[in-house]
Amino acid sequence: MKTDEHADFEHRVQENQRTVYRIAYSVLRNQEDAEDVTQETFLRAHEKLAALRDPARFRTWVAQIGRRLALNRLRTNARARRREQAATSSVEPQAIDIAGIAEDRVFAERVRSAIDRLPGKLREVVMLSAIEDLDHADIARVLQIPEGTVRSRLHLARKQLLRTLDQ
Amino acid sequence: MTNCREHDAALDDVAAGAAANIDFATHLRTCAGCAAELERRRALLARIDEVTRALMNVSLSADIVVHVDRPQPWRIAVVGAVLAAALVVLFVAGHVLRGPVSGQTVVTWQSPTADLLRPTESVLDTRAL
Repeated sequence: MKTDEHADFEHRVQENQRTVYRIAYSVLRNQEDAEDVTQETFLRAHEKLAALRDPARFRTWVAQIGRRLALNRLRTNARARRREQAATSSVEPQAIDIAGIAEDRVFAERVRSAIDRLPGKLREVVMLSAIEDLDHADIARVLQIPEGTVRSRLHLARKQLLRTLDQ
Repeated sequence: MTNCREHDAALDDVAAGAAANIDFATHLRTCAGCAAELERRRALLARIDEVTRALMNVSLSADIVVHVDRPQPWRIAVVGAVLAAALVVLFVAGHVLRGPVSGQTVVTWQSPTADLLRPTESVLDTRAL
């Protein structure tokens, strides 16, 4: 790889690592696993960079790779599965920060629990839409579903959260 | 005038961002209770969205390091030299270690008869005796 191309790739890693990490986290719900997947995502991306026809689509492309790798890990890693189940009943260190931001630890935990209880397809859209760098079109490309489906799932999910948390 | 209960589902829909239909919009204009309820649900949903964003506000513990080897000029030179040396060693070793291959002519054997039978000038001239 030429030095210019290498520098360009490094720049793209810097630009997109947080988004990929958060997508992996939305699937895995575990920071360590999400970091591993993020690292692996960029290694895969580097190996297959020639397959990317449109460089402008790099972000969506790595996001798709990251999500796929995260799903693979979730399926095959029994430990990750146990952690996901444990996440519904335990507060991880990150939750302390969440409580600080939400100014209500109890409410934050209720929201987290309500999200965990959403059907998978709705939960995925809710969590991806909470990633600041992703708009509906990005989410549609990452999930490989129509943009309208993203909107309708998000609408359903938010209504369901509203009903759950308004009790 | 429509009953407030009839609009309960619409309250959630509109709070979640959908447009109010004409019937519900008309009701909202005339019912302060439903308008207040809509605002309460909107505020709750905004709070839910805020917490959800915070929940996803996770950060990497460190930047991802790209472990990709850059081709360094000195490295190319060293690798080239090592490869060249290896080729030389293989070439020499191949010639030294390789014995005669069966079927290959190593030496052409010639009968000495032809040379021995050829007359030379030093042959004794018997006529001079």
